[in-house]
Amino acid sequence: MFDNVNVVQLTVFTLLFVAVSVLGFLAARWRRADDLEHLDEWGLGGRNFGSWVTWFLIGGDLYTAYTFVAVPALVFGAGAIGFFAVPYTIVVYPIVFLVVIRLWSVSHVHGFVTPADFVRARHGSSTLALLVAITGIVATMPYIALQLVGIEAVLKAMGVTGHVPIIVAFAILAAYTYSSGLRAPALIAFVKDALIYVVIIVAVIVIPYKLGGWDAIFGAAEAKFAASPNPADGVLLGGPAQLQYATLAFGSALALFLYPHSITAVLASRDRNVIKRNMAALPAYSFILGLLALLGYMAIKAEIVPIGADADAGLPGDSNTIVPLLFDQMFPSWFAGVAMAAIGIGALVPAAIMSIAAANLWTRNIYVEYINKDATPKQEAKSSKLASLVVKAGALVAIIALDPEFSIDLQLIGGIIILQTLPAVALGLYTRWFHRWALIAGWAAGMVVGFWATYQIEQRIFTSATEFTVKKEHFGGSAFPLANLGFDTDKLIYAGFLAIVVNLLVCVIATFIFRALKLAEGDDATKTSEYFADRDDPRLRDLPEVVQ
Amino acid sequence: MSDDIPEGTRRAERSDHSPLNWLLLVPLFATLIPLLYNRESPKLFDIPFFYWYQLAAISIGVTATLIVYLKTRR
Repeated sequence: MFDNVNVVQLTVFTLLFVAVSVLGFLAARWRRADDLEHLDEWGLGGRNFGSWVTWFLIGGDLYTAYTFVAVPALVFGAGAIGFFAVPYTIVVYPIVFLVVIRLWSVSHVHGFVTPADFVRARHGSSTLALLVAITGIVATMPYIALQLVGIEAVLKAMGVTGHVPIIVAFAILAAYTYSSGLRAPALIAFVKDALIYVVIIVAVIVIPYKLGGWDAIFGAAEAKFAASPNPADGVLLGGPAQLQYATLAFGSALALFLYPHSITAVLASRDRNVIKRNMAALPAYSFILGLLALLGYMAIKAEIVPIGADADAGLPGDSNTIVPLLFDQMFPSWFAGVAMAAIGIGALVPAAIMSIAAANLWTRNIYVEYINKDATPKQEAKSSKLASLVVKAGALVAIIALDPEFSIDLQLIGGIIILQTLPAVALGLYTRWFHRWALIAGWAAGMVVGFWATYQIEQRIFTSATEFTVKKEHFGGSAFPLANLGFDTDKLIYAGFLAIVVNLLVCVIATFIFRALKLAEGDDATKTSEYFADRDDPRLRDLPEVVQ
Repeated sequence: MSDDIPEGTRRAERSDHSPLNWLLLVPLFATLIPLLYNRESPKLFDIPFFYWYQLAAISIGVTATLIVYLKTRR
């Protein structure tokens, strides 16, 4: 388990890990509530986070450890296409700016904790709410599992193998999330993000200097891609990849704030201005992510070989290990340890928030809806706390017992399926024009198309510019060839984008049909003015029962 | 639809409408058309245009959201 371990690195890593764990347990006392036995407290940190806390929390939540290892890995392997993470995280904030403040307002008034809570009240359909909740849970689970892949990549690079360290790390995480709720990741996010900023800024100054400058770095990347038989890689986008690049960035941006964990972090903020301010301030993380992506090219220049790679046997190895290996090669041991810890701790924050979000969906939209209709707030909190443990255990099993590849496939699909909740959640914030059953039909159509499209995508290994062997027959990526639809083109499109277009078309057509058939509409429990409510506006639960 | 229901008079006249909201579209046009920036030159500090342009475009996004936030807060 500990062969060839770098002792200094592992010591620094462990110290920082222990420090944030202590912080996680202490978080229960931070901004202490009268009673943590309420979902608003455990699951949303009291709905009272200010601008700074929210910035660290959402930043720590969205820019995950997996992102930090997978984006540079993609750039390392394929080049320009991996840089989609930058336009993706540029456009997401202007796109959601007006949408999330509406969601915050209506949730403030009604006490919604999950997107499915909103859907149920807005469209008067418990079926639609259940579908949204299940979609959210299914999309989130593999995402949690992938955070473990992030930790594992770091441990591997430090020479630690075996599953015991990950089990220990996740058990500690589960324990303090259970006791402190959302306050734990909120507090830890400060440490995580501070470490990430320091590490990345040092890395983009020191590493290019050591490697002989950016010219040498991009030169090495160009040479690598010129030599590679794959026609799709390169320092610039190939012709067929441009549409894929744009739709992948746009589709991913549309999906990001539909994820339950993003919504959890948004609803935890104090007022509308906190959210607006953060929409302008969060791109600081996008800048860091862009610099991080370039580490992929630095790894090419530094001739990093991913762990498990074997050129003779044609094995690409675990490309997720290139960033930790690069740190290991470029930095003195103690600082490499800090860098490893930054990624490792970076996994804890999103994993905690995601498990809380999934647990809240379970509690509010399945447990209270179908199992215990008269649950007290205390029972709700208890249910969520227990569910958060189950969710983490599930993620652990998925990584240890199953091939991690399975989680990667699922997460790929996760982004596509969560996008299918866009009409019910995001458009639902603006309009009730869609019939509730049409939204369900659209959701179903989007799911089918999403699965069908990704099922068709092969992962190819090119032996020459035109010849390739198929490494994976199905779920080999998210770039769908438009030629499969009969178009005479070599262009690629993001499968999720295709699915949401079909979803929307079905929503529109089915709405006309269901209206014509006079199928019963659902009741809307929300009022227009509630979409503009702010902190000082009354909440329904503060009002006497009769008013509701 | 709920929009037809008369609201309570006290807080009825709220809205997020503002002509400045159109600014939020600018970052989309600036970054979602790869044709605009899928080029090697001009380089900046030896970094190809494709990369430094998109990193610089982050400031376009920030400027747009910042203006809308500052002008619409209440």
